[in-house]
Amino acid sequence: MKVITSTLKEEVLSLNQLIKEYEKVYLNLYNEFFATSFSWQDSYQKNFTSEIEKEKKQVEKMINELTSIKDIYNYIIEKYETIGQKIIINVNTSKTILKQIDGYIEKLDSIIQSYNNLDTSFCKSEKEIIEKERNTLEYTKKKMLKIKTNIKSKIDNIERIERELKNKLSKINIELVKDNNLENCI
Amino acid sequence: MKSYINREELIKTLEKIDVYKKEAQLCFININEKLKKMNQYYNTSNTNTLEVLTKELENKYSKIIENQNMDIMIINKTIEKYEKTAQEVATMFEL
Repeated sequence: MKVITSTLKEEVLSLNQLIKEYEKVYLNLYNEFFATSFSWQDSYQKNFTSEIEKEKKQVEKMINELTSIKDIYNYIIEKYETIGQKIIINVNTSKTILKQIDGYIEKLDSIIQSYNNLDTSFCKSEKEIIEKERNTLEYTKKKMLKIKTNIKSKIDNIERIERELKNKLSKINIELVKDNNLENCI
Repeated sequence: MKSYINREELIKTLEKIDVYKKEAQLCFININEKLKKMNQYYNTSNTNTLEVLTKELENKYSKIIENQNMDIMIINKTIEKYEKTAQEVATMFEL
């Protein structure tokens, strides 16, 4: 997956402006459609106005649907911004990465164990060097464990956001516009 | 019902409708561009759903534009129809 939150933010802001602009334009457009009744009056005009009313409702619905999609992107930005400005991760390989880290930790453990098994009772000066080396390995192991926790928490966070998004997306329902019955308007 | 048409006024309204329709179409184009870019900057397993929704919205815009074109055509046809009737009446009186 790839999320570029900073660029996404700019696009969502400009989409918001476009939606507002469209709301203004469509209100003017439909006001003019309704204004035809001042200069055109017959039985067809009534049908025309009633079809225009239905059409205007469809446009209002479309704006709501568009706003829902915009809100989804706002949610994406809000959630992913806490992780970073650009996130590129193959979520499918997350288990393999964690397994690899576990492998390193296991190897470190077995090396540390080998150091512990060494009998250093007969060599005092070497004992100090060996213990220093072992402590370095223990420090590395601690660091690896911390890295593993961080990666796991990031992956869990990404998976949680994606699950919540899927849930939000399933609630958006775009209904397609039906053909207006305009035959009896001419 | 009394039939009435003010051709001059109706044409003026039609001109305004045409301007707003063009502006609305431009908004659709820009909105679509934005949605496509947003899909590009957010690309995950959920993208399919978002792409499908964007595509459905695009279909919806085209249908709405089609309907608005039809509305304009109806107004134009009405003007034509009244003009034809007026000409026929004029011809009848000349006869």
